[in-house]
Parts: sequence; structure tokens; C-alpha cells
Amino acid sequence: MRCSPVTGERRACAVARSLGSIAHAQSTVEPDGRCRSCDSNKGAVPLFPAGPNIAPTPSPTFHRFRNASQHHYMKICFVKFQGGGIRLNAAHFKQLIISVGAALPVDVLTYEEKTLSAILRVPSSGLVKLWSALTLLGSYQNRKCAFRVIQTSPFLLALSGNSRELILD
Amino acid sequence: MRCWLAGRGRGSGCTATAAQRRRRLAGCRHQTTTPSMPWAEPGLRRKRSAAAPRRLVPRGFSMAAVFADLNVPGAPERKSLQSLLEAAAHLGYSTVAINHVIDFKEKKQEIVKPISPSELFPSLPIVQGKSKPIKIVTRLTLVVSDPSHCNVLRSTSTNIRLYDIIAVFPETEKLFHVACTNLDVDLICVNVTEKLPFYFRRSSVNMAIDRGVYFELLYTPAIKDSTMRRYTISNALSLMQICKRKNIIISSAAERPLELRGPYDVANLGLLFGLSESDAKAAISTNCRAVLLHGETRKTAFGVVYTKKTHRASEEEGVLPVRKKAKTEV
Amino acid sequence: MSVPLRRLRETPRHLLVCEKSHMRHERSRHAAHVRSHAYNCRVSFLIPECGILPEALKSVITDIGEYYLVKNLSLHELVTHEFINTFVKKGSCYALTYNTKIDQDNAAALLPTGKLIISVDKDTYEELGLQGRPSQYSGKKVMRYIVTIDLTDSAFDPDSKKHKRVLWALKEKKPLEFDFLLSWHNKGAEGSTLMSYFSKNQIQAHQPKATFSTLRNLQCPVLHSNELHGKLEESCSAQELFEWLGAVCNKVGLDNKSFSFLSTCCCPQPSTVVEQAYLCTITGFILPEKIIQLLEQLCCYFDEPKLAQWVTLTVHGFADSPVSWRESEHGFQKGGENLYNFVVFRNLDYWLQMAVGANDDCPP
Repeated sequence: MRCSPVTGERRACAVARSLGSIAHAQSTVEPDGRCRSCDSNKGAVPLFPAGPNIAPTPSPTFHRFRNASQHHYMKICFVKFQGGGIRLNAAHFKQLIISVGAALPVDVLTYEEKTLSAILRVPSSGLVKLWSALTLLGSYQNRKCAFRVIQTSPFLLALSGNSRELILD
Repeated sequence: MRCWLAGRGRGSGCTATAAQRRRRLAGCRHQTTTPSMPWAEPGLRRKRSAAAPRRLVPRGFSMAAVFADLNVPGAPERKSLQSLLEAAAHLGYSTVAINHVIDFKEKKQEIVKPISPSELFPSLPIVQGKSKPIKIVTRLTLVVSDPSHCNVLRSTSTNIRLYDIIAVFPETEKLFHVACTNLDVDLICVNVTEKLPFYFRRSSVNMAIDRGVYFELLYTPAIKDSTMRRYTISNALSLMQICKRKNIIISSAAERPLELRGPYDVANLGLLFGLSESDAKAAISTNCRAVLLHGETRKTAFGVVYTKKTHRASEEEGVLPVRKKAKTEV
Repeated sequence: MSVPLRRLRETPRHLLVCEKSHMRHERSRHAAHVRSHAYNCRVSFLIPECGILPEALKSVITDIGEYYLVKNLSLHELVTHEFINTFVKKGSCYALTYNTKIDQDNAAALLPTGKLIISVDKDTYEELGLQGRPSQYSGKKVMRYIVTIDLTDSAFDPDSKKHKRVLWALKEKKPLEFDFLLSWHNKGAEGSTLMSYFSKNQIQAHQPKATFSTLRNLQCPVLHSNELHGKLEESCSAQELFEWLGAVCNKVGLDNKSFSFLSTCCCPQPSTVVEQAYLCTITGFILPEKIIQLLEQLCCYFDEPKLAQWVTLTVHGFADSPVSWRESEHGFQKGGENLYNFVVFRNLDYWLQMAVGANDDCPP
């Protein structure tokens, strides 16, 4: 540990375990003194150029959240047998998910009736279960169907920028 | 490593580094050597084969750890098979095996020549998100319920040699043991549609793992029916206890495109079968590659002579087995 | 609980690193972070209380620079001295294989530092005969190797043994061919362009696609730059913001009540409703240099008094690139997320959030 507390360069590191139901991973900050190289902190005088609302800013702080996402997100698409005249509105879709995903508290964040695609939110500990339940669904109202999982991520933001969907020419 | 590099069994001791060293020694210009073992100097090669009369995996055959579904039933109608293969390519499978099943309990079972991809498609469907076309291989599955059924595997002159992968579905414990220890197969199918008729014995399973034979689990029955789902999971878990998550592949046996699932979905299902994350992914990628390589060793005669696979485009003279053809070309 | 059952409850590894600093702080490393994340496929920024984009920002977007897609380019073309001298040593040259999956296929990437990183499967590695190291994420049975070649190294002279061997390996031993995304950034100096250099190959120029939208009556969380962890009833935490931003970018309706049947997801509290917010998304092969420009312009946005308390800038990396930050290896288990987000406050304090999935090193 090369950083001195005087310079205020200490970076608190919050490591939160995720397994199970840590409800507020972010509130259990344990400054365990983990720091990265801060060789440049000797006698550093912060320079603040003129700008609106300048307040003396403390030095950089750094926090880490490991496996702290309480939720996982899935982008899925429902495929049904051609020619089946099933209309599936959002409520029906949620019902279908509930019937598949049993006791998991699943949220349907978005649903598009035209393409039958949706973004689901599921507690992290239930991801594998919901995913396999969706995979093993073979029929809906006695018609063949399938769920295609397009992407899963612990970060909802990651679903909005999938480079595998980048198609050129 | 032993599962594929050594082709058959432990002792052949051909590790990556050793291979590399040999290659470096050989100063390597593999165009000039025979296609059998381009990495080895001729002198070394002869020595090697004399010392270890086991089959070596031909290095000329390359297949990356792409996703594979090694069980797509070869339907009688061409159209449904085509749509299945297209669906597989669309889901991101780079390799699929068309499976031909022979059940000896039914009369008049004949081993037909494997279907060739060029018959199916004028141009192969492109794998989604890649610029390469899908690779189609052929597989033969024998359902054996009597020891005499295994004789067909020992005969040399049948169409059986034209298949890339040979799998066996043993119905009794004794045959399971034989399949694990003796039979010249690449895959052993595990029953997932009913309660296991027998327990897996650790000795036979270990033997199979040593020989580089893989076990196959299917997931389509689990999609079709909830009782089968129970059996699939419980049988898979009991196999996992014995084989310690080694040498498993997961494939579909899907008859309709809607029964196929994407590779990442199947990998996730693997967790349900008791595999770990990386094992589950290996079960649809690297392990399938190992099976294909294991199948490929059958076409080499003890790793001494390897015939380069010419494209089956020359189908008009396809009566000749591939091996002979290559010989005549030389 | 037995092992398989326990495994069903486990969550795949993921990391979110949050950093707080000031844009003008001399030790602030925001530019270094942006620069070290070489491959970016999408950039989006959100400005609350903004109806019309300032001209300066608009001009940055319009001149974000085109990139090229070269089909079936042999890898050895990138290690020839002609290429190194015209592009790699004169500016920042970025190249990344396109349509290759890092968990299945071979892939390659050329970093602006002149490092060429080739990620290959075991078969290719053995045929290639170049020295590399096993991939960090391939477990006991190594199926993937990473070969790193420093093109600007002095030992990589035209006549050096090393250069000859690399060229031979890539040209004769195991010719590798890929579709490449290419881009080149040089400061001022005019030279030949990628377009003319690769005119023999199939090369296409692409312009990054920009989409603009105005979001009406958006519920925004209240943030205080000093409270990275949020304060009950006063401000939201960085993590909550990250989730909320995801909801906005995915067009998730957040106005529903917590007891709604469909979804119980709502905006973190406390929140304010902003009348309109400007969301701009740029998709393509976007260079870090351009992102730094964009970030600078977003800081300048606060030069004049504005209603907005903060703005955000989100950058998504390529899921299939062999590296994420710097040269730390990147893999794809179930998802290859590597992204970061800046929240720039009115007083030019900023939060930087960097997120990675299962097969990734801790971001810098």
C-alpha cells in the first residue's frame, strides 16, 4: 500500500458478494484499503480552472461492485408455429412467462407485440432457472413454439449495444 | 488432452508442446510431406508409429471450437431436413451431423450410403453472424440390444466407413460395457426418454473416457414432454456422478426447426444437467470437435497412413471408398 | 444443497467499477480510460432539459469519421513493413476482425499502440508456430491461445529474424484471412489513406450511423456528485443510475407503478420529471479519439448556464474483441459486455462506471 491518507488518495473499495439476496450491496462499503498505483500523488496540488459552480473536489475515489447486480436481464423473442392465429398481448405474454417461470418474480420490461420480443428482468439467482424453463418450453396452447434468447446480461445498459447485432453492408 | 490429441488412449503421449517441438525440428514445409502428419519429420514419424501402434489424430483436419449439433435426424423428406439445417445455421451452429439411425430390432435394416451435403443444397446456408457456410457431417447410430448386432462394426467393407461419426445406443448393461470398452465407436448415446434400465458402472465409464469415447445427452425429448424432462435430468445427473462431468456432449435430435435451441441456451441447459459453465459450453463445442476428430482417426490406418479427404463432389465415382480413391490418385 | 442445485442459483461473474473525479483534476484519468478502450461499437449520450443540440456537439458527430470494412484480408498484410510504416507508426491504426466470434473463431486486433493481438484456437495455434500464451479463460484444457506481436518493436525490423518468421507463419504456414474493420487516426499529417492502400482488396467505407431522439416527460433520478453511493431520500447511487440509464436506452417505460402486473421496475427515487431529454446514439467503429472530443464538447455544454444537472455518455465495446481495456484479455461466456459510462455534472465532477461480464479482467 503506497498511498498515504494525507493526500486523500486512498481509494475505498467496496466488494460485495452477490450470492443469494444481498439487498443493498452498495451500502456495505468496506474500505479495505485496496488501492492501485498512485505514485503521482506526492505533493499534488489540484488545479481547478475557472468554471461554473466550482467547489474544491476531493481526489478521485474508486468503488468496485463485484457480482452486485441484483437482477439479470434477458432479451428474448417468442417464435410460434407459422399460421397459428394466436394474438399475444402484453398481459398474455406475462402470463405465459409466469406459467413457465413458476415462482420467480419476473418483470416484463418491454414487450413488442408485432415481433413478440421482450426484455425480462429476473433476480440474478433465478436466471439459470428461468432461462432453462424458457428453453424447455415446447408448446403454447397446443401449438409448437419456442423462445429464442437473444442476449442476457447483468447490466440492462448492455442490452442496448450488442455488437453482434452490428450488420454492415 | 488425452481425449483427442492422443486419439485413442492415454499412453501415446503426444502433447502439444512435443508436437510443436517436432515441428520446429522438422523445419516444416508441410506441402512436401505426405498429408498424414505434416508436422513430423518422416524419420520421426516412422519411429512414432512403430512405438505406439495407436491411432493418431491427423493434424490436417482442423475444426475450431465452433458450436456443433451432432444429432440432426436425417428425415426422409429432403425439404424438412433442409429447413432443419437452415434453422441450425440461423441459430449459430457451425457444424451439424445428419444422423442415420439403424435399429436392429426392426427387420431389414440396411446401412445406406450417407447423404451428401451437395445433394441437399446447391450452396450451403451461411451461419448467422459469420461469413462461413455451415459444415455438414454424417453420423450413423446403431441401436443395439444383442451382442451380435455389434458385428457390423467389425466388418470392413460396408458403407459404415463412409460415415464421419459412429454412435451406438446400448440397451443393456452388458452392451453398455462392451460399447465403453471394446467397440470402435465415437459416441455412446444415453437413454433420456425413460428410467435408466441399468446403472452406469464407474469402471466402464472410465474406460470409455480413457479411450476418448464421448457420451451423448439429448435435449429435445425434454422439450416435448414433461415426464421425459424428468428422466432426462435425472439420468443426466446420475451419469454426471459417475463420469465427473467429463466427455459429455449435448445435442438436439430435433425433428422440427422449432425444437432446435440456440447454442447458448443449450449451454445453459447443461447447468441443469449438472455441468459447470465451462463444461456446458465445451459440451456443444470443443467436445464435439473431439468426437469428430475421434471419428476421423477411423479413416487413418493406425495413424500411419492418412488419406486426405477429397470433396465428395466426385460423387459419380463414389463407389470407391475414399481410402482407395486416394490411393489411386497417388 | 448438492453441487448441481447450488450451481443453478449462482450468478455468472460480473464487475462494475465506479470512479469519481473531476474533469479538470490533473490526476483525472478519464482520457486515459477512454483511450485504452480501443474498440467501441456504440456511443450514446443523454442530455436532460435539452431541446436542440448545440452546434459544437453536432459538428463533432458529423465529423466522427468514417471507417472501413475490408473483406478477406490476409493477416500478413498487417505485418508488412509498408503497412507498418505508412499507418501504424504514423498515427493510431485500429483494426478488428468483423463477424468473428471470440468464443469460437480465430480473431485478431491491431491496437493503436502497434500491438497485434491474435486470438486463435488450439489447432490454429499449433499450425501457426508462433509463440503465444494460453488464454486466461480456457480452463484446464487450453483450447485458445493469444499471440501478441509488437509491430513497432525495434526487434521487428524488416530484416530481423522475428519479422521473417512472423511473415512466414502468417503467409505460408497458416494463412489466416479475416474481414477487418479498419480505421486510422493521424494528427494532421497527410499520407496515403487506407482506402487507396487496400484498393486491391474489397474495401468499403462506412459512416457511423447517428440517431437522435427527444424523450418527453422523462423521470430522471436526482444525483449528487459527492454521493457515489446515494443518500436515502436525497440522491440516487451510481448503480441505480446505471440501471436507470439502461432502461432509458432500451425504451423501458418507467412510469408504471410498483404494483403493475407487467413490471415492477420503476425509476429510482428521489426523481424529478424533466420535460424533454435529448438522446443521441452513434453506431459504428468509433475511435477513442473521437469519444474524447465528444466528452470535451459535453463538458463545454456547461460553459453556459444550463438547466441540466448532469449529462451522460455511454460507450459500448465490441463483444467479440480480444481485448477490453488496454491489453487485458476479453472473452465471451454468455455475453461479452464491456462498456463504460460517464456522468458529467454541472461542476465538471464526473462519475465513470465501467462494467464487464464473466470473462474479463477488472477494468483499470
